[in-house]
Amino acid sequence: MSTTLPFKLTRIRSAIYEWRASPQAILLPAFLQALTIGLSELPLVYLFRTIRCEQYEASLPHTPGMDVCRSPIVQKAYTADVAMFTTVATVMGIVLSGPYGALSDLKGRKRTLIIASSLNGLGVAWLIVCSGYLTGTDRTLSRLTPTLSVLC
Amino acid sequence: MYYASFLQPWVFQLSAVIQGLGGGFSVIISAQNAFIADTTSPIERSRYLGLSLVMLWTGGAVGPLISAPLTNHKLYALNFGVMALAWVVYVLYVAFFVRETRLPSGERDSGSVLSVLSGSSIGNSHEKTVVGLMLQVFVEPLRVIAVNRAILLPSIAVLGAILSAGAFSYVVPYCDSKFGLSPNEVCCILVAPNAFILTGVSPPL
Repeated sequence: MSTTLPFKLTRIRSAIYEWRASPQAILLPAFLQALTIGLSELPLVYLFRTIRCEQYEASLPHTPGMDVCRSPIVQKAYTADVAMFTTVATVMGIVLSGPYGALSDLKGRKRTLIIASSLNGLGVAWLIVCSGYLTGTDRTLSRLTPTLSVLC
Repeated sequence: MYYASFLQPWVFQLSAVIQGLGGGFSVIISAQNAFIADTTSPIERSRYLGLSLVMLWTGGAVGPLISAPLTNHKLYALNFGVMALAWVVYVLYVAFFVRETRLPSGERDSGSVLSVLSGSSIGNSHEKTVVGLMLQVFVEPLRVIAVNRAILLPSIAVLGAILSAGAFSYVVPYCDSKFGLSPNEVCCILVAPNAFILTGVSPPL
């Protein structure tokens, strides 16, 4: 009786240990990665749209009731921004797929996934910094202005 | 004046460079599929690769549902914060929970990049310069595709499919300019294909 609980715990631990190297273990990361793709589609487009809209609006005399955000000039500008963003990320991914593949085969899958996902996360962190300035709602970032201004 | 520096589109493009250094989504999906290949028998491999696709479509369906209301209220930083949180969970989960499945071993093919990099091909290694080796690493995927016809033909088909599907990336700007749809309304258009594919793919798996 006194050995039953430790034995059960040992069985559970070994089952979890085996599951950690099973194909089911990678399904959650796959979902998270797809979630980030789905989360990025809308805000990226509307972010570029907002920037270009404000730039164009600042260059025009004030006209009440005029929606400059749907003008062809703004549309062209921000779709080019979206295209550039997608192209840069995709082309670099194509070029680096070979080295990452070699890294994956030489050093293991985990290291490749950690490096790749960390860099993707850093890229998103940069978007947080920049978009925080755009909306002006993040006062914490505003306090970092003297430090971050050296980047520009 | 400091704020204006961050409101230029090129500043946001730096994020694309950083994410590109991480290989974008293609490297991660490839490594995930390699993980599945390492841990499955040939009989069950297709099933688990299909399940990873189910996760892909599920994430693609759930993501816009979260980002649409945030984008509608211009809470871009919060939206990207949710993305960053997802990446943090990803890194921690892979680093501390998932076990390594790839055991590096000596490659039989002495001409392959891996055999040279791993030092198992002693005879050829001293003949290759560092630059040549780096170039070989970059073109290795193309060499593998070109040599294997069983991979070449499906790769060409996939290339054509992705080229034609690339236009779908502009469905959001199109809906905005032509129909004046709000982010919440565009969300439905983004979610619908993923949800449709899920209902069609999930049951057979």
